[in-house]
Amino acid sequence: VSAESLNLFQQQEANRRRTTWLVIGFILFFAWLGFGGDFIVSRYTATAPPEAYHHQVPWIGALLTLVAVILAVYAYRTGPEKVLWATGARELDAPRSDAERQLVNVVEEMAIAAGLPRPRIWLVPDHDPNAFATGRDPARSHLAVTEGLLAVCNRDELQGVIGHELGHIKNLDVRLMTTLAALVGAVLLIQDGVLRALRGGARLGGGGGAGGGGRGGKKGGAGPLLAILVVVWVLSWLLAPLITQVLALAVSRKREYLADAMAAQFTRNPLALASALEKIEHSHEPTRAIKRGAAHLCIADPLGRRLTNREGFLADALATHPPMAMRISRLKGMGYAQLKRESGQTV
Amino acid sequence: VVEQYPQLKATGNVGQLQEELTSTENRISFARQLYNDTATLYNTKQQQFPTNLVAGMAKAAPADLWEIEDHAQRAVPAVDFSLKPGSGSGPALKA
Repeated sequence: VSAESLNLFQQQEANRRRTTWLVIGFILFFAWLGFGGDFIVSRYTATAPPEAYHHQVPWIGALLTLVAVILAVYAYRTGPEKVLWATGARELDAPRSDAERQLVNVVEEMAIAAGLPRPRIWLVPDHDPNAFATGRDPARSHLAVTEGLLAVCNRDELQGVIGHELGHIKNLDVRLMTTLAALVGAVLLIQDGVLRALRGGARLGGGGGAGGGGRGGKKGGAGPLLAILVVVWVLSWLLAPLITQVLALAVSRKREYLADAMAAQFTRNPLALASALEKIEHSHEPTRAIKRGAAHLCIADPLGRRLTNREGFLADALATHPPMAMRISRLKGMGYAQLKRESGQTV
Repeated sequence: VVEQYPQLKATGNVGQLQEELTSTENRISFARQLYNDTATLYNTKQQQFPTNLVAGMAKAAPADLWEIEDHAQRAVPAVDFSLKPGSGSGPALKA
């Protein structure tokens, strides 16, 4: 049990470092998109006649980098609120029913077990059982569960799920994953905007297109290196959301096992979490309130993707969560080991 | 009373009281568990290789675990719902 707490500080440190790298990578990526574009345009305009436009000041790159910096700061600052807002969660400050009262109690108990301040509690209006945690640090964290989870789980199972989420908070997983969610959202938004602008521009400039093509043909001698650069540059524009998705995946799978183990440590009842996971797994409906960008924050893949059920190369590369069967069997293993120990003590 | 009217258990004030009792019990035991886990971790660190050198220099002493030997203390307090005259005007805790 204490093996997890031994590397808690390493885990927190790693998550801090990864968040920093994520933000740096995000800014560098935008810088590449911008300055790469500048370079291409400057090469194309370099051979233009003297009276034509020469692209000498790399203002596209400067602008995009600035936008990326602002976005990253904004994402880091307001990530938790944005994620909660996107799922339509409402804060549970005054419990109105017995189930809500129980949820508040369970969260307070598990916060004591984890040695953390009590997170703010949110309810997501959705019938599919799921839960996620977000926040920048343990002192200002948020924990959200769906109404479906309250309906489906008994007290012990709820404890397991809340313990799992508090494990993420304690590990500082929430900081990394929330920043990532906000950045993924920003990239998707920007790409949508750019594509729309391009489409609009193509429609407007339909007449000028032929002339543009002719101009491009004249500069054909710019060299294969430039052509490759152009292809890579265009590809990175198109693939940006995919890259951020893959990042989100790579970041989230291993830590689900760790959070499961921490939940087992807090509750001393791994079998309850295993049965909660089984219940969540058996409700096949996707969690509609939780969108793609926040999928990696949840205890179970909200999109109900089939990949989550398999191990293997493709699933390893593309699923946000480890296979549910693996998680359940690991928890059951812990549970049976515990039962064995306890029966050994009493004999 | 609860034994005679099982439906009382599931609804209303009795259910809420039970929830509060469970929660209070859990809070106490989880606080003890956290203390014991942390103390165990601290003690383990004092004996493990790189950290035991520092512990020796700092003259760290192993922390005591918070164990409850007394079975009466460990036992869950029973709740008496019988509204007998003499046992007070409402439900009373029997320690």
